[in-house]
Amino acid sequence: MKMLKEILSVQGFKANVVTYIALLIGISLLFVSLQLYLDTYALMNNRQMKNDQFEYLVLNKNITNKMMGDNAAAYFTKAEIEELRAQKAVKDIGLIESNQFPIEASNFGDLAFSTQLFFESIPDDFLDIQTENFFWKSGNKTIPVILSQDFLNLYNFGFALSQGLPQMSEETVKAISFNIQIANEENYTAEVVGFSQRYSSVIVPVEFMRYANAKFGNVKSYDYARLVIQTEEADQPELVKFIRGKNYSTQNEKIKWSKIKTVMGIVFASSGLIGLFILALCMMLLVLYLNLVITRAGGRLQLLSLLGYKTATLQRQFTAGILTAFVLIVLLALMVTVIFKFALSSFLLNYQIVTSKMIAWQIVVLGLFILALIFILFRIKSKKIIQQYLA
Amino acid sequence: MPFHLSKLKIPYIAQLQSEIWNTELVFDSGGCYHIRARSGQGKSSLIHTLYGIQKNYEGKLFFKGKNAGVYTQDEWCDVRARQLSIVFQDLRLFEDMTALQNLLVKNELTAFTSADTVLLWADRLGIAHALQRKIHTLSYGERQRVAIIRALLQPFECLLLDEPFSHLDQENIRVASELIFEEVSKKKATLIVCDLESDTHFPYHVTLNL
Repeated sequence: MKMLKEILSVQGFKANVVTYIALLIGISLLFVSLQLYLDTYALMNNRQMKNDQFEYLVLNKNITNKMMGDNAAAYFTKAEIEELRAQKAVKDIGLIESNQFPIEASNFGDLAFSTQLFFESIPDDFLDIQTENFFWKSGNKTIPVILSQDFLNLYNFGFALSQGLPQMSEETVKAISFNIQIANEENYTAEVVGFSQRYSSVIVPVEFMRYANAKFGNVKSYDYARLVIQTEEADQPELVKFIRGKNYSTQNEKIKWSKIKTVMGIVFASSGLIGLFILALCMMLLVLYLNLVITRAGGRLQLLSLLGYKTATLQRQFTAGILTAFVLIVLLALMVTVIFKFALSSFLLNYQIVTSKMIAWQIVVLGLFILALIFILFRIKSKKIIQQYLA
Repeated sequence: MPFHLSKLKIPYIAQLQSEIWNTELVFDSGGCYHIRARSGQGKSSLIHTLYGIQKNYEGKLFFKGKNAGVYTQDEWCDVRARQLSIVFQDLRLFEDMTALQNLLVKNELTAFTSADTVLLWADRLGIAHALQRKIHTLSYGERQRVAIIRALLQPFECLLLDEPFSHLDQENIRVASELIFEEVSKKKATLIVCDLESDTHFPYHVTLNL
């Protein structure tokens, strides 16, 4: 079809060089933005090495000066709990009960001490350690206790070192039992059965808390000042917004990622949008160019169709060059992304952040999608313009 | 039977009935037809209708037994590339391309004729010297011969000629009609020639008045 090409005087690659360069930049920008977004997303989701399906957030109300005279203001009302439960991000709520009676803990011997103490109870499903020993039934004189890992750390690194006291391993602490007197009436032996990283508290079985509160509690109804919510992702923006809006307080470390994620999301979305915008502009330019060359060849097209040239054959003369260029550009953009990704992951490795050296499959899919879209668009568009001129 | 015209007429042509318009007319395979018409009687309209360009007609036109009214654009292109060839009265060449380019672009479609044959025919019709010149630099007679060669390059079952020799002298007409009839005979094709006057360029079987 050499002569056909000559007659239609279709110019080659040169006519659109600038547009093609812009296209390469636009599509590369789009790919790189998507890659960065996917990388950030993956990194943030992996950061805690989650092996659990869910994350847990402990909620309480912020204590303000106004609330200081009114302890009841620190409790969650039934309506507030229900509202929280209605949040889409909240899978389940665990109510944390606290003691409503005085507790005195003491020990004798080498590690003699005596102190006032508090207990909290948390439903078993919400605990981060599961042990068979954490169990109490009426009549048992021994209470199993789960201590916060933080407490042990405070003692070992803050207290023991400065006071010249012995540091204690988890096993040592588990081996020690101490005496508990509740409401100055009943005596128990307490044994530490585990350490929790999730809760900063002294946790006892719910059954014991119910029994003791019923027997010695000052207040008859149960109120909850702390809750634990189970969620698939602690840093979901909607959940974080809700918690902030209600002025509840929680482990900020867990939800600060939400903010970073939102900001990063906006940054990558903007650069992606700029890429898309460039792509759209270039497509418009190319469609205009197509329109121009086809219109310029108008009379010749008519004569060619009189000689027996079919629409598809004629159309191919105009679109083949552009479409070939498009395929090359998308391939080039993929290569740019591969190089970028390789450089990025090598760079991150300096900071001990391990990421894949391969580009994400979503980018290849996006590339194919763009190509398919362009093929269809240009086929339809050029056919439409050509058909005006046929005989 | 390349063409069958059934009550065919064109609305803007005054003539209501003739040996062609508004009657039943069949062109037989291998036949040699002469259509005679004075200016303005729709001679070119008829040719254009047969070639599928002029679609504004009443009645029915059958090409090889199939209603030509339902042919798609692409089907017409196939017909024009392989079954039906034409020399237009106004020639319809690419003016700013050379004569050779005009011939090659037609031959590229089917690659039916060898380059040697093209040169041979150009030589026979006396336009070998003009092949590398652009069409708009050629005389009308030379252009006419380019158009004739172009029409003969492709395979065809029917050849339409619309005043093909209007600007040729007797000697050139003799040479050209000889070449045309050779090719028509070789392909056992139907020949339909439209002209103003009676002539004896071809051994016509039938002469029809428009």
